[in-house]
Parts: sequence; structure tokens; C-alpha cells
Amino acid sequence: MAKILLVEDNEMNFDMLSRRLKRKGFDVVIAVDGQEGVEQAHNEHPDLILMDMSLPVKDGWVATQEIKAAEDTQNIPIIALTAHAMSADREQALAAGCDDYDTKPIELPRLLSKIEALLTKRHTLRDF
Amino acid sequence: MNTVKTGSSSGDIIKWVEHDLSTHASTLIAYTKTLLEYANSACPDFIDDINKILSANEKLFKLINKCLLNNTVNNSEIYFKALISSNRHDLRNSINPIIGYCEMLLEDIDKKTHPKAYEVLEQILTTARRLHNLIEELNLPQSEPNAVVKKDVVRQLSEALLLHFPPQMLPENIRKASINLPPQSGELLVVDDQESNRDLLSCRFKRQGFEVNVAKNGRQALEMIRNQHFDLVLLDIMMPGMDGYQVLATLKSDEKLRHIPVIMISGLDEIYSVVHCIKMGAEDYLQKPFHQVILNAKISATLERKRLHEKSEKLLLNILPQEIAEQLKDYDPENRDDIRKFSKHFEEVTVLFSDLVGFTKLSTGISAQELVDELNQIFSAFDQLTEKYGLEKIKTIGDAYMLAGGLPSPRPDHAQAVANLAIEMLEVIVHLNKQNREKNHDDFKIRIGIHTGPVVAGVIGKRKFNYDLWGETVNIASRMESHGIPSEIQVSEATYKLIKDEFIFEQRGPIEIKGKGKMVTYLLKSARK
Repeated sequence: MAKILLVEDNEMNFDMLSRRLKRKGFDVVIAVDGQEGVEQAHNEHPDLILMDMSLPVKDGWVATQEIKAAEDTQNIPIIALTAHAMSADREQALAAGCDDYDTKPIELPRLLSKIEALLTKRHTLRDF
Repeated sequence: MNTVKTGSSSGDIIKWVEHDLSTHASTLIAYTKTLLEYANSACPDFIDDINKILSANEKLFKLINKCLLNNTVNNSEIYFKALISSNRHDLRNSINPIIGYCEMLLEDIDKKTHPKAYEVLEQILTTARRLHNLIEELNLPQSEPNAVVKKDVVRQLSEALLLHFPPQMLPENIRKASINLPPQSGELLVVDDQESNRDLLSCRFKRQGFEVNVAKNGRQALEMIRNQHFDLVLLDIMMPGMDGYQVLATLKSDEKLRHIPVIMISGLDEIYSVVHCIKMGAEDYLQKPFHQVILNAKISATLERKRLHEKSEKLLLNILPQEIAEQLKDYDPENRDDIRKFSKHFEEVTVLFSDLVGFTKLSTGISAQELVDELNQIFSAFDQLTEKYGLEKIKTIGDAYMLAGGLPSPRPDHAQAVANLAIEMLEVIVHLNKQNREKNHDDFKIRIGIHTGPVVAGVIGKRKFNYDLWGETVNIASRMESHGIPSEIQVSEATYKLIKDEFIFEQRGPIEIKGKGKMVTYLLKSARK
């Protein structure tokens, strides 16, 4: 069972998404700010991270950069989740090291296909 | 939904859109309340989640109403779009759980057991999606919302982009390209009374590679600017106490601070204030909510302009003495009074001419480029000497070099300084000849002539300004050189009298000077030890 770390500060959003992911068979760990996200990435070694970008304490861009800079966490795929209107956000998220990007409101089938794609890629890489 | 088009009576259309948004939002609440009532009796397990949908709906309704209320003051399509755009992040964040919980409940609720609940949930989901589409369609064109300076933004943005990218990459790739802006450098000051804005801006700029400082109010900003170097100031207009106008006015009236570019930060309703600030000397403006691409482009463009300005200032100072350059900024060549103002009489200055002997003959032996290279070597060395002695280079004419002492700022030791420099000029030539021994031409030899007397100095003409001297003194100095002896410094009686106690001379003549008759001249040999 793949473990997903969901970094999201909005209670309603993390409650809703984590429950939906659990239903799909994922093990879900939650962090409510960027700093906690970085710590959980080290402690929990999730298979994938869903990262909201506007987070308190440490925003998603910084958290992503830190996760991607640390040796033990750099291979964990990260999908950025944003509600931003900025057209540059996608590029910025990718530039910060995110592997993919999705916008809110979340379309679960779309998000799931992105998650599956990254997890498959990761497994393929690990098998080599 | 009907697409909102500019041009048609936008007031009416926007009323229609507003109505549509507000209806959808209130319908959502009504549906959810119906669902809640039903669940209370039929399926209490789902009440918690339905309550979450309801609270998300209420939040969304409030957000939309806030936009509608704000638009009553300034009823325009563009303004409303801007309002929606600035709230889009929160709107999306509120719609997200509505859709999510609905989809989840649709999985939980058995369609056959609770057909009514299932049906209402589907309606909520459809309405929420429709509302989401409405909001996404209210998109703000990039250069709006403010039509007043719209053209300016487009122009500046494209200018800024053209500074960094080849034009064939634009405009399709504007977005992509501008995100890959090279890392920036520079020290910025962000002045805003709102902590969230300060944090947002400083966080973004730090990511771009800038050094960022923040100030909470106008007074603190001015204090920091006076004590520290900044390449750019981002200044909020509305601040308690000393506001953005006062800070801007103070900066622009201060001789030492007015060169620092200021970009105003403004809210949506402050557009006329922005125009006012630009008239007051602000470089540009940024509108909240900040658009990353425009933000980057404006900052780079402003810093680039500052760099260009500093570069041209430096070039100007290479051409003209500093005080003349300063005065010349107000010079009007059509105004006779101005011409008077910029040409000044000096009672006593010392003028020096030097000329390469046999240069014309030499120039037939080597290529023009080689010749210019060698001449450049000599003149560069002379430039260094002129700077060392604090004298004023006037010009070079072919292979001749002209300088003066005692202007534009008078100094009592002008003749001594010029004499010392002349001696070093001869030494420079000897040194260069040694270096150039292996080259295929004869040694360079120079003649130097010096004379002291009154001149008029200034800038005249309409273009290609240069600082020049006029008067009999200039002619005599030139004659001292042209009637001189190679590798010797010939000075007139006037100069000799001023410095005869400090230097060793050899009397020459009287000799026949063209247009002057017989004159006693002296050859300057060395300084007295």
C-alpha cells in the first residue's frame, strides 16, 4: 500500500482529500504547514507527497526545495496542489522541484492518474 | 454561461454576471440545507459531512458577496474581473471541499435507499461546478484592470522582456520565458504597513536572488534609505502616519536620494493616485494582487533603466567636467543667456599642447589600425597623468593633446601642476619607446608648448558638446608647441615668471613666432630639487 504525505493547512480540504485517498487504498499522513511537511517527509518516508503551495510557517515552494535538496527525501515525487490564479505557478512549482502540478478544485480521477503515473515511474526506477 | 464581451454595454452584462454568481451561490446553500433536513431524519451518519459542505458553501457565498459589494462603488466589468481575480485563490479553495465532499457522499449514499439525497447531492455538485466555471471565465486580460495606464504596462512589459529575450521568442513564449529570468541581484526595500504583503513580496524577491529589506511605515523607510544603499524601493501608497506620497515627495526632493527608483504598490481603487505618483517621479507601479510575471518584468526593467542611467552619467562625466555636466542638464542652446552662463572667463590658466613629431611621416609606414593602437597607448598614459595632477583634458586633435590647469575650478598652482605633468609626459614617451623597441618604426618624439593667460571656457554649439577654451592664450600655447623643439618643453615668458623659482629653465630666443613677432621663450628642464 503506497503511503502519501498530504501537506495542506485548510482543515476541510485535508479532511476531504485524505478520506478520499484512503478510500482509494492509500495510506495517508498529514502535515499542516511547510515545516511539518519537510519533517514528515524525513520521518515517514512517503511514496509520494501532495503539496499545497500556500502554506503557513514555510510555504510549499520552500518546503519542496528543501525536500528535493535532502539526500534521503529527494527521490520522493511531489505533486503541487494550488488554488492560485497565477499563470506562472505551474512553472514555478516545477522549477522548485515538483514532479507534477494540479489545481484546486481537485478532480479526483485526474489527480489519481497523476499519482499513479509518478508511483509507477518510481517503482520502475527502483527495479533497475 | 454567456461570454462577457468588452465593448457592448458592459455595465448591463456585468450586472447579469453578478446576478448569475450570486444566484448559484445562494442556490448551493438552499440545496445543502434541504439535504441536511433530509439527512436528519433518514441518514444521520452523513450529517457531519453535509455540515462541512454547508460551511464551505457559506464561505463561498460571503466571498462572492464581498466582490459584488465592492463593485457597487465602481460598477465596471474590468473592475469586477479584477475583484474576482484577486479572490480566485480563496474562491477555488472554498469550492474544492464542496466538490470533494459531494463526490465522496455520492459514493457513500446508496442511490436506491436514499434517492432524494442522491438527487440533491448531484444538484449541489452540478451547481458547484457551474459556479467554478463562471469564476474561471471571469479572467482578467493581462494588461488590465486599469485602462488608464494599460498601454504603458504593455509597452513596459514588452520592453522589459525584449531586454532579456530575442524578439522571435515573443509573444507566444512570454510566459514561459519570463519565468526563466536569470537570477537577479540588487538590494530592494519593501515598504508596506501590511505584514502579509511585506512577507509575500520579500519572499518572492528573495527567491529571485535579491537582497530584501522591509519597512513597516514611511518614517522607518526614510530612515533606512538614508543610512543604507538601495537599488530600488517598493512603496505602498496607503499607510497610516506618513503615507506613500509623503515618502515619495521627500525622496524626490532630496538631491542625494532622488536617483533611487521607486515603484508604487497600489490597491485596485487607487489608480488615480498611481498616475499622481508617476507624475511625482515614481518609476512605475504594481497592482495588488501581485502578478508574478509583471512583477518580475517591472523590477528587471526598472533596475535595467537604473543601470543604463548610471552608465550614461558615467559616460557624460568622461566627456565633460562634472560641474559642467551638472549645469548642462538645464542648458538650452537656443537661449542666448544660457550660452553666456555656460561660457566663463578665467583670469589666469595654464594651457598645454603636445604634438607627435613626424607623426604624419610615421603614419605611412604602418597600418592605420596599428597607428591608432599606438596613439591610444600614448594618450591613455597622458589621460592618467592629467587625472593624477587634477588637470582638465580639453581634447585631442589628430595626434595633438591639449589640456589646461586652473579650470573649471581655479587653483593657484595651475602652472606648477602643468609643468610637472609636462616633465612626466616626456618620461612616458621615453618609457613607451623602450617598450616598443622591437616594433618596426622609429621612436616617438613629442614637442610640448605651455603658456599662461586669460581664457574663456565653456560649452557652445547645439550638439556633440565639448568643453573648450578660447582666446589669445590658446593660440600662444599652441605656437609654443609648434615652434618648439622635439623632446623639449617650450614655455612662454608668462609661465616662466610664475614658476621660475621652482623649476630649472634654459632661455631660448628671442625667436620669431608666427603672427606674434619676436618672443623670449624658455625650455623647461626639470624641477628644482
